[in-house]
Amino acid sequence: MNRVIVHVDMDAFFASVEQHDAPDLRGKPVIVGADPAKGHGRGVVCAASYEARQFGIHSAMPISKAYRICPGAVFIRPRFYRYAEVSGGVMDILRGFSPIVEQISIDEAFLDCTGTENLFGPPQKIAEKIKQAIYSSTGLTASVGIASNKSVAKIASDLHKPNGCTICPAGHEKEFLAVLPIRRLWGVGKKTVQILEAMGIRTIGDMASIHPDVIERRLGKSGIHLWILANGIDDRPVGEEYERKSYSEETTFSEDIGDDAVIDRVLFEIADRLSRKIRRDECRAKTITLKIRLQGFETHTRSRTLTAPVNDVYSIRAAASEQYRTFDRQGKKVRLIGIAVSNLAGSEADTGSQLDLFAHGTNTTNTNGAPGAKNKDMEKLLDELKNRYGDKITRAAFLPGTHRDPS
Amino acid sequence: MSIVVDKDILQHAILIADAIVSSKNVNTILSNCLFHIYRDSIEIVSTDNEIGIRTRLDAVSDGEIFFTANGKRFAGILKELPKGEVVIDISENYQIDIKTKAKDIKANYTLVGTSKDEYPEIPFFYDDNVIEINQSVLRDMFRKVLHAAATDTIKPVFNGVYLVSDTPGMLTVVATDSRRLAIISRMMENDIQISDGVIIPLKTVSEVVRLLEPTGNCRFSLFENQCFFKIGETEIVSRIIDGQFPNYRQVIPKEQGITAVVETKKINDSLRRAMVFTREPVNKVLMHVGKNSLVLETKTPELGESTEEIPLESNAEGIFSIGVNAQFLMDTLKEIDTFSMNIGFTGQMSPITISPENDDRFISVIMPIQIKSA
Repeated sequence: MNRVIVHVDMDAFFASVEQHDAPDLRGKPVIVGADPAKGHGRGVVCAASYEARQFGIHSAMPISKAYRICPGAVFIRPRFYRYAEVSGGVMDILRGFSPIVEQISIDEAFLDCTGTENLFGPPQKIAEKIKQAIYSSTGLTASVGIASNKSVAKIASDLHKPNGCTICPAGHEKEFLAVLPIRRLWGVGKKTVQILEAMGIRTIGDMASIHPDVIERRLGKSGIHLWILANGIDDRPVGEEYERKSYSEETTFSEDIGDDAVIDRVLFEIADRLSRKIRRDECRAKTITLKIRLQGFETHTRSRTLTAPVNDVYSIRAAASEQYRTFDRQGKKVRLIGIAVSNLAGSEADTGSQLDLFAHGTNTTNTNGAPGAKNKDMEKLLDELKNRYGDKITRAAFLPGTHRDPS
Repeated sequence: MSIVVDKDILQHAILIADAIVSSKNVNTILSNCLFHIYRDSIEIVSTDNEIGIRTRLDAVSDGEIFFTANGKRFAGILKELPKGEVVIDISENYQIDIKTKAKDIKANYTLVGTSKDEYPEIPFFYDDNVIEINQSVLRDMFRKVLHAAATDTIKPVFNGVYLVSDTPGMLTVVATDSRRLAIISRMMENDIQISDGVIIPLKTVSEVVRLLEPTGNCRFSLFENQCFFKIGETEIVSRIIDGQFPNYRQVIPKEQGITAVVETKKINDSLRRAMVFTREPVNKVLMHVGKNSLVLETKTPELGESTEEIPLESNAEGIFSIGVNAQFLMDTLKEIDTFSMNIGFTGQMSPITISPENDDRFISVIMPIQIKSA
């Protein structure tokens, strides 16, 4: 039986929430993101209203550039708690249409509506009802894509934004995709587009018609996955729980930094925030990636995979610092630094708890800072303190650069 | 200036030095080896900033010169040339011309070299308080513990092998990643003085193991924060890891409540089959130890399960059950070359010890995986 998979994507979500909450912003270009500081701001655009997008502003663009293009826009700092609140409301509405809802980000979700036709009608009707329910409850519009699988549904929802509805009839997935540019394919980023275009592949149809071995030679195993998607095939089920694949934290400096001691201190702070996040979710990570953006916006990442998953600040920091030390920034200053962790394993409870030889010893500090039982207890205590009294109550005392101005 | 040398001997020496050169440092001087030709010999030096290698070989030369060249390329062209001698000319601007004496190849190969100016100084072998160690004994000791060291450098003291002599005449090497530990001690023919142990980086130990030969002695010394090995015509210098090695004596159980003897190959084969039904990274297998049998059991949600019984002799009364990472066990078993082995247990939360039969100076310790008590 063909599945009925619905992808719901809120239109310009952060900006729309702001425009909804403050009616005088409606119809104006609204940019949610870092402080533009009169064109000297250093963060990026989180979201742009459709009015702002007409100027060519898009998310992830440097905020200073957005300011240059459109100095008259309304710049707003993000209010994530508010977006999370609205998002929660939208997800509740979606759960009224199907028990199988997979939230993939704050403003996007998949629904498996297979077998609900008798209740809500054919796909066209389902889409209308979902959009109507979201609008009447939140005042926001969403775009909906419906297809027999997740990949096609996601591509469809993006075709007629905002307030759009696009349905790919079952059995016509391949031709539906064929004319679309390759960048529309889920999982194809800028780099992959470059590689594929160099191979003469411009549309999803071009990709589908080529032999998969050719793709695999250029893109590896993930190429095969993309080729299958290009052929309109995607068997992945709609998961009820959105499963996190990675966590990340980053800091943009208020001015470019060349002092390694300052960067090392910031890496510690980032590792601290990140490790608390993953401990809170009872999670551990095996792969640690350093993200570094240099002056002029060139961005690099360096990853390393450990032998065992970790969630303590010491290990995350050590891995990130080591990547930083071996990274050659060729004299350029650093604009942004961040750490991401991926390759996640569940907590010790669900992977079975490997016991530690030295955990009960008195020599926890002797193992060069390796976290023994004492450090783990200490981390737990610090987590509780920070949850209760805020982040700034403690800081590591041994770090160089702690009392220096970042310059 | 010009040298004449057997191409296989030169190729071999270049490869010894080049082994530590990372192909990642493409544009730096460290992607090259340093060559020093003098008094009818060639000295080749390499370093990755943590380890330095210096090796030498005989060659007929007509002068002295220093230059650097890419070792991989140099060895690469030598490998492709026919056996026999090659004539190498080095020009003043470090062009390295390589010609074979073989009559049937009329060719000229020129490798671009550089001056030695930026190449770091590599310390020479430190000749005081030298310890002589039998090469095959040392190689065997290192090989048997290497698997227990941590392969990542997150906790530096675990990313190495601890070398100590705390009993007169006896050398002990230990490696651990905090979940398992391997320790081996052997009596030495010569006097040794390493009462304060040193932690040698894993990469250095791997290089040393690669160079050690089945016969003869090698030389070992320590100076400040560096250690030195001299093996044949090759010297290795390495930093030693700063930090206190954990108190390993404390975690090796003195007495085990349950001791068992099992055939090494039988438990190894059985574990290999059981591992099909376990998942990374825990690879959990349950061992149920009875008086005359060992049952290996796996149960992995959404994957499958297995049980297998093999014979064993133990003093267990009833059945003792414990969980363990099957990969850790397999890593240990690979280093046991006796027909049967001893396994000891004290409790579900206490270390498991494994030794070859009749050799209690090679001990592997593995921490179990906590299991919910039934």
